[in-house]
Amino acid sequence: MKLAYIFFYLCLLSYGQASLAETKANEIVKKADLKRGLGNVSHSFNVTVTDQDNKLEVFHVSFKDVNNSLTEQTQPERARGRKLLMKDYDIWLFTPNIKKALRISLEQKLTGQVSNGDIARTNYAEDYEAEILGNEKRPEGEVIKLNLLAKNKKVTYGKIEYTVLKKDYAPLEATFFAISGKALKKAHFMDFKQIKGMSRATKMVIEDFIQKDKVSTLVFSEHKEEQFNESLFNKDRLEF
Amino acid sequence: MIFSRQLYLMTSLVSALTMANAFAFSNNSRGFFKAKIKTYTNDVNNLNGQNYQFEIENNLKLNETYSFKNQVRALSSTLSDDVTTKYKASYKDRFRLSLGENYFKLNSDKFVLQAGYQEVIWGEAFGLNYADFITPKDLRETVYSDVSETRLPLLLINSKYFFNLGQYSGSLQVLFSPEPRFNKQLPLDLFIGDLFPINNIELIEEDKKQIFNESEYGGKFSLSIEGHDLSVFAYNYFDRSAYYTINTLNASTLSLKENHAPIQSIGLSYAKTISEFVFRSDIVKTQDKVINYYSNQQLFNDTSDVYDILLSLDSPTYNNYSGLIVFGVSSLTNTNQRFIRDQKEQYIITKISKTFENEKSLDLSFTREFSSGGNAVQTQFNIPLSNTLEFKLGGEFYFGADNSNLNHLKNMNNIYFSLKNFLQI
Repeated sequence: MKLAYIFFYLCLLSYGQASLAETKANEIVKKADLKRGLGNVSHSFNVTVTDQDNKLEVFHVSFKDVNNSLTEQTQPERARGRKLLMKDYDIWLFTPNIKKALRISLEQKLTGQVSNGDIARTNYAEDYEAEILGNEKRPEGEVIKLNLLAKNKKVTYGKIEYTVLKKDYAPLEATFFAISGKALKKAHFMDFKQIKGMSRATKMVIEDFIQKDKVSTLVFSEHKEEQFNESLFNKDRLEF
Repeated sequence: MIFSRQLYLMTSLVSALTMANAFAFSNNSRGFFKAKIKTYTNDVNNLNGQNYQFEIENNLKLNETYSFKNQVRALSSTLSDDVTTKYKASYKDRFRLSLGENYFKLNSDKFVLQAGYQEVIWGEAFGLNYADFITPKDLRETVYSDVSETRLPLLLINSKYFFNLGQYSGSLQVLFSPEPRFNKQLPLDLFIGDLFPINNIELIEEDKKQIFNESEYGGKFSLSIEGHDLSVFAYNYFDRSAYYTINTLNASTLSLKENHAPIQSIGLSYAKTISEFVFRSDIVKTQDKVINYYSNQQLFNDTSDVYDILLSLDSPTYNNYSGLIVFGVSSLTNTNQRFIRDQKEQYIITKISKTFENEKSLDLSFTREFSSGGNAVQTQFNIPLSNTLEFKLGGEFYFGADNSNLNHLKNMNNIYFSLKNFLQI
C-alpha cells in the first residue's frame, strides 16, 4: 500500500514538473511575442517588405486583437487597395478589380516568402504549444531553444523552432516547418527599438529553404495604439 | 450631343479635383492606361485587333463619414470590325467615353450608404458568375478580360447594415436602381448568323430604360459563422442579356430589336475552407426568363425558369503551383427543343497557375462544354515590369462541335499582348 502511495506521488510530481515546464515555455513565448509587436492590444502599424531584388511592398495593419486584423496594401501602385482580413482562423482577400471578399486559406502567400500569417497573425503563444528544448551559449548571450507545435491544423505552420535570449526573452530566430514536417524558411529578428516602453524587434529577415537565394525583409514601423469599431473586421465591409 | 456630354464629364472631374485641392480635404486621384494588341488566328477581316482603355478617378474624403468617388472611362476598340462580316459600321461602337463609378458615400460604424453609379458584385465563385448579375458587363472582350474593365456601373442606392454577434458576423444589403442597364454583347451574327442567309444584320439596341420609368430592387443577407460564409439573395430586375424580335427581314438585311424582360432571381452563395482547399458554390433560380427560338426563318420567344448551379474548389499553392476546378450547370424548366440554347448546359473549367520569381505568373485553363461539345483553351503570362507597369502575353482558342456555345466564338481566337500602366496623380 505504501509503495502504491509513493508511486502515485512520484507520478503526480513528474506530471506537475512537466506541466510546470510547459507553462514556463508558454510564458517565455508570450514574453517573446511582446518583443515582436505591441501584443494583444488594439493598435496599428506599417510593414515594409523588400526582397533580394529590392522590390518594395508596403502594408498598413489594423490589429484589434489576436483574432481580428485587417491588412491593406498601399504600395506598389498596381496592387494598392488589396485588403486581407483575418478573423480567428478565417481569412478573406479583397482586390479592387474583383471587388468582392474572397475566402482564402491561411497558408496562401501574401508576397514573396511572406505568408499571410507572418504579417497578420504573429502571436505564437496563441497558436502554438511550447516546450523547452534546452539552453545554448551564443555570441549574443545565453539562449533558450523552444519547440512550438501547432495547436490545430488551421495555423500557418505545423511547427516552429524558436530561439530567444535567456536574459530578456528577446526573439533571435525562428525556423518554420509545414504540417508535413518539411522545413520551409527561417526568420531572423533584429533592430530592437524602444516602442511603447519596451525594446521590440522592428525587422524580420526571412530566408527561403526551398529557393535558397530568396530573402524577404520585413520592417515594422509606426506602431500606434488605436481603437477600432468591430464592423471594420466584418468581411462584408471590405468592398467599401 | 455626345460632345456636350463628354465636355460635362471632363468639366465635372476637373471641378472635383480643383475643389478638393482648394479645400484641402483628404483627396487622391489615380487611374490607368491600357493598350492591347491582338492577332486573330481565324482572321475573318484580315485585321489586327486593338483595344485601348483609359480610366481616371478621384476619391474625395470630406471626413470619416462623407466621401465622393468620381470616375471617367474611355474605350477605343476595333473588336467589332475584327470579328464580324455582317454588322453595319454604325453598330460597331468603336469609341466610348463614359462615366464610370460616380457616387456619394455615407459611412458610419454599422451602416454604409452609397448613392450614384456604382458596381455591386454578388456570388462566391469564379468562372461562370451565375450570381454576379447586378452590374451589367461589356462581354465583347472575353474570358481573359480583367473583370474590373468589363463592368458597366449602374445607378443604385446601395445600403448595407453590418452586425457582429460573438462568433456570428454578417450584413443586410438593400439595393434600389431607378435606371436598368444591360450587358453589351458580341456581334449577334456569331450566334445566329448561320440561321439567316443574310449579308447584313442591323441591331436596334435597348441601351437603357428611361430613368425612373422602370426600377429594380432586391437585397442580400450574409452570415459568416465558424468557417462558413453563407448569403441568400433576391432581386427583381430586367434581364441583363437580351432576347430579340425581328423588326424587318428582306433578302439582304435582317433588322433585329433588342428586348430585356423583367425577371426575378433568388439564390444562395456559400464558401468554406476545407483543410487547405476552398469550396465555393452559387445556386440561382431565375424566373420567367425570355428565350428565343427559331422556326421557319422567324425568331419567336418563350419563357422558362432557369436553374444555375456552380460548384468550385480552389487548391492551395504547392511549389508555386495552384489550381482551380469549376463545375457549372444551367437548366431550363421549359423543354422547348427549338430554343437557340441547350435545355441543359454543363461546363467544367480547370485552371492551373504557376508563379515565378518577381511575381511573374502563368495561367492555363481549359473549358469543356459537355452538352454540345465545345471547348476553350486560354493561356496568359503575366509580367509586372515595375511598380506601375504590367505586361501580359496570352492567347484564347475556341473550338468544338459546330453548334456549341464555345465554337460560336471561334472568330475571337487570338494571340495578344497588353501593357497596363497605373497612374497616381
